[in-house]
Amino acid sequence: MRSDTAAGSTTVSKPPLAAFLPRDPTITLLGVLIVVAGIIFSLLAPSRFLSGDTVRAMAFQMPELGILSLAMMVPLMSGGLNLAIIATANLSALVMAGILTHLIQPSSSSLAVAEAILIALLAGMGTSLIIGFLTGIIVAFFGVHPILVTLGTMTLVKGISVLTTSGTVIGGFPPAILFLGNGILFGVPASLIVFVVCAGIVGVILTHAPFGVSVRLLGSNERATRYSGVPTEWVLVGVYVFSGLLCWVAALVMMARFNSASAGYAESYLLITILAAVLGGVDPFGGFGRVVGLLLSLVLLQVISTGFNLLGFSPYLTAAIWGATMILAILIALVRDQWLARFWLGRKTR
Amino acid sequence: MLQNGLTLVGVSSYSFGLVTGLVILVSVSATAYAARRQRKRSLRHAI
Repeated sequence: MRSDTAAGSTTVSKPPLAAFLPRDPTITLLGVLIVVAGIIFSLLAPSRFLSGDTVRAMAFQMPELGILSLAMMVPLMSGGLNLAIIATANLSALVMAGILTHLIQPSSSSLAVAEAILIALLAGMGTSLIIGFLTGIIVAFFGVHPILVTLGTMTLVKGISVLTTSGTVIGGFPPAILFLGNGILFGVPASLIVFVVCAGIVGVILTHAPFGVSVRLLGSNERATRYSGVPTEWVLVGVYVFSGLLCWVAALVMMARFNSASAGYAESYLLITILAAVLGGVDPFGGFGRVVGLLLSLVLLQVISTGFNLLGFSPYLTAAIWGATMILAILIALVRDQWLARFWLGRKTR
Repeated sequence: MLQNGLTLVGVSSYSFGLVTGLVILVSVSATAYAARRQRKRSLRHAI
């Protein structure tokens, strides 16, 4: 490492390898883990892991978990949590499915189908926004911890879904909806495009929009944010409304992929969304986190899942490996931070 | 206990989630609201 001193200012240039690495060490670590996992699975299943079919399957599987993880990431950044994301997405999907199957008949004209889709989309979005708004109101104005509120919301919303459908599945949607889950646009799955667009929007909002900055400040220090003149209560309401909106997009992708909606879909994703967010560098106490980290952690989890699936391992073992990956990532980060602290302390005292 | 009571009353098992969720939300909101009011009252007394 070289140190240049000019006109009283000291600039420390990076070593050649470090110049090519991202500034965020979490991003570097995740990138390295993805490459290592990719190399291992390519060696163990050479003909299958790097095939086009596998990559396409991974691209189709990732978006729904990805959008749900984004819906979890936003409350996590504010220092909260939303346990109701899956229940919200399922109720939203059921509302849309109910309207679509009720309004669209085999003899319906294309205009009637378009109208039904528009009504269903608006109703599904409204449902998610109302759930998010009510959750936000209770969290922000009653001062109840988000875990308790969203646990109640989750149970209540799932209860409504089960009560209205008696636990049955609603299916049979028009091709325009199904395209979103199974269609391919310019060689890329449409659902992946939706996910990338959502990730881009969330990333821009969290880093550049006043709302996103307020969310991060709120997650870092709620009292200081309030004394800075930020209406923290309404920012919190906005957090859960935004999370609800992302749940609606996830609902749309899920119902399009499965060609059905149910009260019990994707329940196993709930804790995985927290895993993906925390693995991606989102601070579980709020304030810090990047969408790029979340994307990379999703890719890593998907690579591990697909690799183990190709090798014929049990999906239960895959879940255990995901957990082990997170523990490994935390340990590596811990050792790295300690090493860096010692390194910089050594430089200062020298 | 809640679910046993609902079964004895003859409520459909499909409604259990709805009732349980409502009970959780109402109880945590009421507890938090009462704690907040008490905190405000004790602050007023202190002033």
